[in-house]
Amino acid sequence: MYSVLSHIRIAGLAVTTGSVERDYVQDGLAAGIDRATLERTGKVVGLRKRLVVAAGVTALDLCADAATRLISEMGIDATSIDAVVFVTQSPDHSQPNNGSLLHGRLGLSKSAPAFELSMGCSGWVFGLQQAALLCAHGGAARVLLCSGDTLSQLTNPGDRATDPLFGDAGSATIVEKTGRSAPFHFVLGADGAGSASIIVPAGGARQPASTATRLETVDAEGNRHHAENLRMNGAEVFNFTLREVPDAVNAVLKHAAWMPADVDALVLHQANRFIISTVGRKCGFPADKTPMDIVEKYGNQSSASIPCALIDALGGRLESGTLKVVACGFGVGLSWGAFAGEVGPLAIAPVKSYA
Amino acid sequence: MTTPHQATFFLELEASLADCPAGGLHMELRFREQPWWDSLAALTLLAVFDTTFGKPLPVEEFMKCETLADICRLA
Repeated sequence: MYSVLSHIRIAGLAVTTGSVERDYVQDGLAAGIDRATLERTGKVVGLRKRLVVAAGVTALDLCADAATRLISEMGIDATSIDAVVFVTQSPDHSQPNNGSLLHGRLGLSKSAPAFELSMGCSGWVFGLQQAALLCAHGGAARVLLCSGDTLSQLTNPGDRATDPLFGDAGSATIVEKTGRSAPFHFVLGADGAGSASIIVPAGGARQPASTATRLETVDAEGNRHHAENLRMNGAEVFNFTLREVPDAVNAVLKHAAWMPADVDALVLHQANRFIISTVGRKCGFPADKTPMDIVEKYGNQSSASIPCALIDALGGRLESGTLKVVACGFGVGLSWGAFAGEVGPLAIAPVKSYA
Repeated sequence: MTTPHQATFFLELEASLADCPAGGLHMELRFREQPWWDSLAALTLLAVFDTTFGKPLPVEEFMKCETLADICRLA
């Protein structure tokens, strides 16, 4: 689906990460893997350090911290926020949604609706489209978009194919109605037939959590997991990414009437260095326009990874000027969302670990 | 008989795989039995296949492949 929305701007970005540092090599050595293998895989895939939450800290906490810091940085009143869009797949409760909980924590106006999108790694782009829609056609002048997950709480430490990939983070993005006319272009898509490729099988209404769903099994590769853990078929997900992301990026470029040479940065969901370098190349972008080192600093941050890359790799340029940015998130669903638009100047609250 | 596309596939794959000996790839190679084969090598093979032949290698079919000739037949 293609949509174009105008008279909108991204006014601010903030990201808060988990505070517990995990080291890929040290964790692998403790699991009995040899150092040479760990160092080779770590270098190619981009696995070094990741930041996860301490026990009891949730995506809501991380997003609330990011939002509070961003509101302070921008010098705005929280009651000036007209709506909240919260994107997560690790909510505090099945009911009520995190959007409502954040609304209460920040003390927002009762006239400001708050809702949640259940999206993962593609979620920031979906949330941005919703926030832009609320500003362009929904009567809002300022929308708070929060996106983030604590996937480290869903992976099994004994699953070496999945657990070492993920870090925890929450982001805040302020989207505003503006007189600027540069449009935001979005291409959103889904392939529900591939939904089993990334899944937490139990813990929902289909298969409620129980003692039985926490019984661990060991797969052919020696990885341990149970039915309440996040499972990922790496080869299927990689093929899906190769198949859909370049097409989505090319489509959004075409709608924006941009060539790769016109674009300042292609910001892909920071899944890992191997995927980003392969897909970026297939999209026709040089490596120096494609940030890809977020994962080795923070881990795969799900729907917070694109705002984290915008801050970490482009923050200085975005604070002072305007960049032509193409972003694409992709993952669980399966789903993907591509964005093309001019971003900046904007306010940034730097990436910070949760305290 | 190796086609030009297949030759390119072998060259690119060899260059991309860590620890694969030079000239070590051939049609009848049972790649899953090689010391350098792991999950990262599998993703590398999927990427090189996609780049060389211009289409993804279906994972379900890929799981049944035993030799590089089996892979090339899916191009």
